[in-house]
Amino acid sequence: MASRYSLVGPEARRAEELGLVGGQWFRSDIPRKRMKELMRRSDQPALRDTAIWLGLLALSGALGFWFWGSWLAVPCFLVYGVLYGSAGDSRWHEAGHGTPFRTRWMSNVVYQLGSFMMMRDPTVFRWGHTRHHTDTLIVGRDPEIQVMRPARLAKLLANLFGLYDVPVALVTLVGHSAGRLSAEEATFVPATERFRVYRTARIWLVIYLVAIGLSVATGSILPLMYIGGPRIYGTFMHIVYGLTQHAGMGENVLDHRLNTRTVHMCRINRFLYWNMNYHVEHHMFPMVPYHRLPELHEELAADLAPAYPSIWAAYRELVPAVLHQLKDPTHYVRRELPAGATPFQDA
Amino acid sequence: MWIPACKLDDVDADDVIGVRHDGVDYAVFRSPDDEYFATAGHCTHERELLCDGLVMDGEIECPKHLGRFSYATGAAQGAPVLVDLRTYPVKLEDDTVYLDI
Repeated sequence: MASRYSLVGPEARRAEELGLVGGQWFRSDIPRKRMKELMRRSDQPALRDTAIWLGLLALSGALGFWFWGSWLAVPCFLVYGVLYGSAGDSRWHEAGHGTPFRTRWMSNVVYQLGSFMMMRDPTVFRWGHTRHHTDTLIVGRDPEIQVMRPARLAKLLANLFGLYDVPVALVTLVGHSAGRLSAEEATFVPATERFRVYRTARIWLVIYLVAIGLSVATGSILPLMYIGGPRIYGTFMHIVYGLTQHAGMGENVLDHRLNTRTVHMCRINRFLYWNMNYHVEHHMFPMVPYHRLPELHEELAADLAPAYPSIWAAYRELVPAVLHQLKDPTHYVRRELPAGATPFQDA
Repeated sequence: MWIPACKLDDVDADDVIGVRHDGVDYAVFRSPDDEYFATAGHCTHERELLCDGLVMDGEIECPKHLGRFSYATGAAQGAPVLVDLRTYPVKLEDDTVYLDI
């Protein structure tokens, strides 16, 4: 059965008819001078964070190698896995926007690395994410709707360990390396960009085959603990963070304040998630680099519904909402904008 | 046809403003060396006003998907923008920027 969320089904046509495609989204009014300050690029914060990220990957990976065979390897690979399979997601995301660094090639390097770690083709997912920003939570248009109505709970839970995404990614990888795109991918990847998809897939396939070959030759899963494996055993935190973004919120509404959550998180989570907890702010102004989002949050405070004080608070809302949607798919979380906020104008 | 677009001082150095004439949007740029340029007002990828974007290193970045164009030549600099931006000749007279549309 074709999903209601298919990009090539009836909902895609309906969204177009309703004028929801490429719509005029609400944006708060921020003086140009202040916006220019907030958009300004700088290499320093991301160089520091990337050095910490790669340094911790190297350290935890080395300790894991040292302790391999003993229980002490478990916490080492837990750290390595989360830095790879969860922090890789936020690095992929931010670098894909090109905002973390002033120097473009640095963003590109981190983007390629994050894409490889998360098993997302850098070209397909760049275009997919472009669409997610154009048509956030517009049914039939947004390829990144994680929690559908009703939710596919088994898939969501399986993905805490990549058990849906990884097999799909591997099958897709083989298809791409053979020079094929899916029908959905073809709706948003322009023909002139497709050769990049096929080239990347062939390189990645070789890397994975070498890792698998090494595992077979040595009779140990150790090589796969470093390459590919963390997308399974270390990916749970990116799901935990990611579900807070839009799960249970309003679909087909051209105002990120009503379909997106901003959630306060501790320093460690903000490091791993690269400040994407300021998600309403990110959607409203994708030009603002991750390290300026806390300031943007302050700037927008009067216009936004209150931020959730913790991950726990977000889950206390989203879990019941998603469960409610299993019985009643029309249910969603209605956010109240504060008194004095610029009102949402229905399109 | 030359039209008056804005005053010289309406645009900060290394920045852009949006100008509307006859229902059509244009973007007027001033480089760090006080040269003026003009392009179409909307991104070629999707209908987004470029004047809300970031001007940096001779390029304008669209505020929605961050596609980049050279504002002097209109050349698209890669995904997600693949179609060049239309540019318009500019002349300065007295304290006014004129565009040839």
